[in-house]
Amino acid sequence: MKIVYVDDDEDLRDIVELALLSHGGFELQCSTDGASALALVEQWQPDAVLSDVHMAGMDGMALLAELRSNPATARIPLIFLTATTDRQKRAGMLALGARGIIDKPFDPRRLGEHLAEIVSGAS
Amino acid sequence: MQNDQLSGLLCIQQSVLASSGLLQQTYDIIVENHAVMPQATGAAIELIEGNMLRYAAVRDSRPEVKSMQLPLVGSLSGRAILTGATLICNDSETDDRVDLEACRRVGLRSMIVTPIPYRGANIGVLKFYSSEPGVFGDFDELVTQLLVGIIAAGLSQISETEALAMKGKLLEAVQLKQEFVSMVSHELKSPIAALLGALPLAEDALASGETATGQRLLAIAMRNAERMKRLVDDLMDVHAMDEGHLTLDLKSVELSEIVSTVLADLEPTARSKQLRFAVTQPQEPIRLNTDPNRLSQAIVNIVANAIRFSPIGGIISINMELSANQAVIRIDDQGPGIPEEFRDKLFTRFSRVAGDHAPGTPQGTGLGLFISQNILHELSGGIQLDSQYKSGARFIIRLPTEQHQTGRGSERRG
Repeated sequence: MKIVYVDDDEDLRDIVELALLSHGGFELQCSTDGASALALVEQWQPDAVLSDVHMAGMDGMALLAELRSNPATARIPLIFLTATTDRQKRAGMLALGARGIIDKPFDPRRLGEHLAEIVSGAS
Repeated sequence: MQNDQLSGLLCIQQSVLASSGLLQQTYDIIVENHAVMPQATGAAIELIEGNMLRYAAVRDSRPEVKSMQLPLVGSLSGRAILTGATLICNDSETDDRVDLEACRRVGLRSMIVTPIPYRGANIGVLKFYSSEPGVFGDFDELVTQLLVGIIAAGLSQISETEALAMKGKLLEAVQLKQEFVSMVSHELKSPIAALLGALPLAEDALASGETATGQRLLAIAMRNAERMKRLVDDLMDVHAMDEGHLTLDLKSVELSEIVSTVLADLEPTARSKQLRFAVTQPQEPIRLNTDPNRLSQAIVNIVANAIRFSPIGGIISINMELSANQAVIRIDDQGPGIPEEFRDKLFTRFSRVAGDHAPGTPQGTGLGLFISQNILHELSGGIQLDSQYKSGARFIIRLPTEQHQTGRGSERRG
């Protein structure tokens, strides 16, 4: 499964990469912000996008809106990886078309499984 | 004169009735009215705070008077509070009930003090004073007692008007606190997520003999534990600043020595991005009477930001000079500069500019510039962003030199 992961925190990019690769069955490319992720998603056509919400420049919500508005990327599911506990914000993410939300902090040993479940619609 | 005084009294009464009923306004109206005690050169309302008397309101143009505090014991005001009687001092030079040293300091020769009663105790005094001896008499005693009656009436309404105003302030404070807690929690969640992400993976890697991966993950854990420590340290400083408890330990120091120490500490981080420090300073040493640790902390935050936002291989220039009797430190980087829309909130808490997650450099806590600005302010100096500078970001720090030390830090905590 091809995943684009977007986060401006270098350490978290490393951790997510190691977590998904050690789980197996994932191919991963990372971006540091929404704008560079857009280009990457359009070109690489991943099976899903996993994204942080709070990012400088284009944030996760703006990325989601951009992906949805482009026919080339509109069908690619986006999952947020976020520390936000605000109910309204979480509802807003799903209402705008996010496939799911994974909470930060997350269990790195379960991340791959969790992500695969959400992408396949089993969760 | 007595008629004028009575008109003054009437005028005060009407103004107080027309005011919104806040006690501070009553105090101000009374001390600002000249007619009620025309022979006085100044008037004050002093209230007990701990074992001191602090001015709640004062009419006196001299700043040294405005900031004065009087001891409760050994002053005429203190005696009036204890005895509950209006006291007149005709000449401070011969009256052993007064604090002679304090009277001389502000050039006071005679005064009349009347205690302010509230709920069975005296909470302060109304005081009129003059630079001339013997100007207050029996009629003045009557006038001050009538004035204190107005204050006492205001105090009895305290529960209504003040309580409403206090409630508003309290709600605002609670809201600010909630926002702050929410921001702090968010700031802590990132390093916690990194720790809880890195440690189980490190455990797995080390168990399966992948030592290099395990070590890399432990380094991530370490880095994020340090980030949490920095955040907590910064939060404690911010708390101390909010409470006004930032402690300063002032010493005579040379500016270039402080800057050298800061740069030596940051050298390893700068080297990881192949950055170079270019330092210029005048031949004459710049001496400051300052807190070297706090000043270092303020400068570290600025230089660490410069490192964070510099392109690899860039130059960070630190220029020290004397200008208009001030020590001026200019710190320039070759980064993207501060975006226009961000400049207003640059020095506020948890303000972050785009790109503050640069690889290889420790992440900021979002409190650095706020702390630096507060420290420099306490050290009687300041910091600003040079908005004219276009080749990166330029911060300018100004501090009084040893010879021209005035103001807050040195006086209050020296």
